[in-house]
This record gives sequence, C-alpha cells and structure tokens, in this order.
Amino acid sequence: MRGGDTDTYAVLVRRYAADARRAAVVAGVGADAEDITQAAFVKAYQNLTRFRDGAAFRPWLLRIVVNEARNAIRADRRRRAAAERLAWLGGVPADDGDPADVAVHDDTRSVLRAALRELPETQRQVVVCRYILDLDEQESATVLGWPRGTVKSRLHRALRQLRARLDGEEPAEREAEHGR
Amino acid sequence: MDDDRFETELRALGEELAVPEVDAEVTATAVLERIAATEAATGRVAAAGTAPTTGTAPAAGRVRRFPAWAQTIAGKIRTRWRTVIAAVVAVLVAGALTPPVRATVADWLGLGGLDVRPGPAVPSAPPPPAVDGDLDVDGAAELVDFAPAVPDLLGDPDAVEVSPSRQRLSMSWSRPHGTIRLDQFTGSLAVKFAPDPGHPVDLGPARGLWFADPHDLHLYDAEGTEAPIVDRASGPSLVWQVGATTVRLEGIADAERAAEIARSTLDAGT
Repeated sequence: MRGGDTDTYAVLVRRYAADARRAAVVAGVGADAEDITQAAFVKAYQNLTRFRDGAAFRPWLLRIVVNEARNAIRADRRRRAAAERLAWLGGVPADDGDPADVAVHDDTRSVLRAALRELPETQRQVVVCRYILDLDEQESATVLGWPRGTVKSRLHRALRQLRARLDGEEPAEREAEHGR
Repeated sequence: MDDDRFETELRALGEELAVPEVDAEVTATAVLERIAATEAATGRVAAAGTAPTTGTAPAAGRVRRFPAWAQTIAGKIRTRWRTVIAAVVAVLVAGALTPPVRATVADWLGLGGLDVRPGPAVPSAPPPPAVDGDLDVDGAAELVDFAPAVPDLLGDPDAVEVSPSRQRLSMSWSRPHGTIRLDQFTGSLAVKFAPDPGHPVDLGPARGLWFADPHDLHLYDAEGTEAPIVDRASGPSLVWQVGATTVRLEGIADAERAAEIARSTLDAGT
C-alpha cells in the first residue's frame, strides 16, 4: 500500500471542510453543522462515480451539504420549526438581540437583514448563495439545482425587492412572489 | 445607494455569519472513519479486491462479512478502542480505493491556482501562441506582486507581458520547432480539462504536475471573472508552484526536458 493513496480523499476533505461547514450553517443546521458536513462528505464519496465530467467539485459538494441539511431539518420538524423558518439565514444574526449590539451596525445593514428575512424563500436562497456563500451564478445554479436563467431572474427580482426596501418604497412584488 | 455600496452591504451580511472555527484535520479524520464504518457494514472492504468499480453492482451481490451480532458487540466495545479500530479500517479503505475513484479524486486536486477537471482528450494542439508585449523581465516584474520565475536554461525571453489584472505574467521564446511559453500567476486563474489528472514530477523544492496529452485550457484574467480570456487546446505542459505563484510551461514535448527547465528557475532562487 502506498502512503499517498490513503490520504487522497482526506486531502479533498481538508480543502473544502470550511466551505461545507459554512453552507451547512447557512442552510439552518447551526448546532449540527459539523455532523451534516461529515455526512455530506461521506455521501459525496459514495457518489464519486456519478460526478459529471468537466464539473467543479465545490458546488457539487455544497449541493449535497444543502440537501443533507434540508433532510435533517425535515426529519425533526417539530423541534426544528424555528430552523425551518430561518433556513438559509442560519448564522446571520437577527436584529432582536442586544440593542447596543444593533446600534453598532449602521441602519442600512439592519434594514437589509430584516428585508432578507422577509423575502420569499427562493429569492432568499439565491441571494444567500451569491452574496453570503460568495458563489458565482453557475455555482449557485448547481447548488440550488435550478437552471442558470432561473438563478438570474430570481436574483434580479430579489435585489429589486431589497433595494426597494432600502429606499423606503413599498415592495411591489411581494404578493405575486408569495404564491411560488 | 449605488450598486457597489449595495453589494458591499450584502456581502457584509456574509461576514457577520457566525461559523464556528473549522478544524479541517478533525473533519477529515471523522469522514474517513465514517466511510470506513459504512463500507465495513456493507462488506465492501473485505471484497475490495474484486469490488466493482462503478458502484452499480446489485446490493444482493455484496457479501455481508459483519453480521448483526458482531456489530452489536462492536458497539459495546469502549469508545477508545472503537476509534482505534475505525482508524485502522479507514486506512484499509483508503488503500483499497479503486483506481478510477483515485483518479477522479486526483482530477479535482490540481495544483496551486490550477484547477484540473476531467475532460475529453484533444487530438492535437498547435504550439502555444507567442506573447505579444514589449516589456523586459525587470519591467514586468515591477508590475506584479510576485518575483517571476525565469528559467536560466532558456536565456532571455523574446517577449514579456502582464495581464490587465496584473495577476498574470507571461513570457515566450521563439524556437525553430515552435514557441515555448511560460505563464505564471497568483490566484485561481487556470483550468485544465484533461483526460488524465497529471503525473507528479519531483522538482526538488517544488512539486510539479506533468500533462502529457493535449487538453483544453482556460485562463482567466482575474479571479472571479465569468468568461475565460483564453480558451484553447494546450499541448503537453508542466505546472508547478512557488509560494503563492503557479507556473505553467508549455511548448516542450519532453517531460524530462521540461523538468530541467523548471528546475533552472528554482535554482535561480526565485
């Protein structure tokens, strides 16, 4: 047995562990993020042969992380009602905490944070992918399992909503989006 | 509020994200143990010598070497010993990785700022394009924030250029049999779509990867840009890393000669 072989998959895990953990936290499984991360790496390993030629590993892995997180939340729905509601915002502080703490941030950020919480779920997901997980459009499409055009249009709508909130306008599209 | 400020505020939300510190080593060990436990439960370790490489064999075909009672007993063994056993099994599993899986994993690793992805074989590739620039090496070096590798064996390059982002410095030499080209950059600026993951080459202080077969090459001007600035077939090439800089040599068909040239940049103390 050659030493180099034993470590091959571990190298991959070390390289992407932090990204995977971040995605798990964002997907709403805060306390279990490490467990979900590990489970996702195991699943990725078991599905290596299904990995598509020419694809990038990171978004593929993050999609597995996000799906694992979603399954974990669903499996324990009652206790995790809160987590479900906050999915895709896990780890982003809410503004109902310490007023002194809130005062540290400027108003814009508080408004933005609140506005993000009120977005329809799909729009929130795409904003989180692009700006909080810092994925590009193609990577977001892979993680969310949507066509790239859908990522583009939902992001466009989400940003318009958020800007409207920041500029103090009525969010015109809210009703229409809730049905989706 | 302008677009830049708006995007900055959105990204700032990401920075507020409360993610506990990750110990990647702990995660890696735990993942290997969990893989080992799963594989042991399905008997794939014991059968690894004849294991199917596609993972599509019917479940019934797998021999369960660890019956339920054995697992129950194992569950009662003290944690410390379980950990030791799991670690041993993890090593066995990793060693038993079937070659296609190993190759697939290696495909994703790349080197430094080079990403290697599985891709089709390209029948042939012309010599690399010559660099179009009127800088000399010293002038170009002042524009980038790394010390460029200069191969003593090739002498002064015929042309040197720096990319608009100043993240990449390229030089070329015109030779009777074709152009030799050296690209070096910081950040993740290159992707190779290659039929094989590259062969490790020992360059002394650096580790190199040799790509013997023609393949598709994407080069990006800056990290995060969507479209590559270069999308072409590349011939055999050698890639190595010096600190945060990734260096790529193309236009030398012989692996050993390419390695000599690479070593001549490292001897020079860069």
